[in-house]
Amino acid sequence: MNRMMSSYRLNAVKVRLSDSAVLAGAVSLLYALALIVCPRAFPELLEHIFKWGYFFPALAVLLVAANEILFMLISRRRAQKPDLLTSGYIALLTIAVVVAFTGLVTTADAQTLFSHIFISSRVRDGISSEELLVYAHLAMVSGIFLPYLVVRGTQNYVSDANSADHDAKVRNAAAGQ
Amino acid sequence: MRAWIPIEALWWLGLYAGLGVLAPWLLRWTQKGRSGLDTSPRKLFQRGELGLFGLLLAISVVLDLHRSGLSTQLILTNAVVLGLSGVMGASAWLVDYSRVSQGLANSDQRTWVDSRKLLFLVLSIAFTTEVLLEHSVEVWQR
Repeated sequence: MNRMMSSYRLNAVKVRLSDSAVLAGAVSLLYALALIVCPRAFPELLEHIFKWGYFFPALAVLLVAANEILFMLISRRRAQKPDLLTSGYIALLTIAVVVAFTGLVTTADAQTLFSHIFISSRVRDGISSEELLVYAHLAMVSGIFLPYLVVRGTQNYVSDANSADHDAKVRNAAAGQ
Repeated sequence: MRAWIPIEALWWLGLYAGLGVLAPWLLRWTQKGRSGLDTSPRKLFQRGELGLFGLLLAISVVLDLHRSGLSTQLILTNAVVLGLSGVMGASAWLVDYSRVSQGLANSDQRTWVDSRKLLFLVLSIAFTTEVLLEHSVEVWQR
């Protein structure tokens, strides 16, 4: 029975939602501060980067780096070994969030362009800098918070499934004796 | 380069933080002399009430978004992000409440830390959203 009880169980680093909340909140506050300190230069800078086409790739790189560093810090604080699978999963989820936001901004850009062509005949460049500001903020916060939310949910599911599997094995072993 | 002060957003922040967190704490603090209560914020909000307050904050900003002139897609995206963070904040309170009501073991320290951090997240997103809304209004008025 002891042999059965010490059977294989997943020992991944336990991530808590509040771990990523502080980083996401700090990024959000820094964003607001940048807008308050440079109310004209900051939106213009974002718009230029967006038009050059580097905005979302740069955002993806920054967010993946931030999330991986955060994951290392969480592992160190809990004195657990960070596993490659969870690191890759977090990177994949972060990129998925950025891709989703790229799709949203591209759709909004196309919608603005078409509505200006067909409704008011005056052609605008596309999405306005104010809308881009809001999307960029949401992408940054979601890129940090949502991957950890999904990882937390997955860990709960895996943990529950493991516990149920483990309990079933223990019960079977006890019945066999 | 001139800095700009988002008065409406700061007023919103002061109102909610004042009435939601400071006012209950001050009320408890005024009763300290009479009953010898522990007045630390941790003791007052140990059951994850800060997380529940985060959900209320998120709802108030979603209502503000609804009244703004932003596009529907943008309002929906912002509302989903705010709503998710608000619900996660409230889940800190909900988990604690469920465990206590069923007589299960529970960690007050964990609930306090989780709810505090998740409130910080909601407050930050909500404040930045209010700043962005005010900035949009300023740009449209120009």
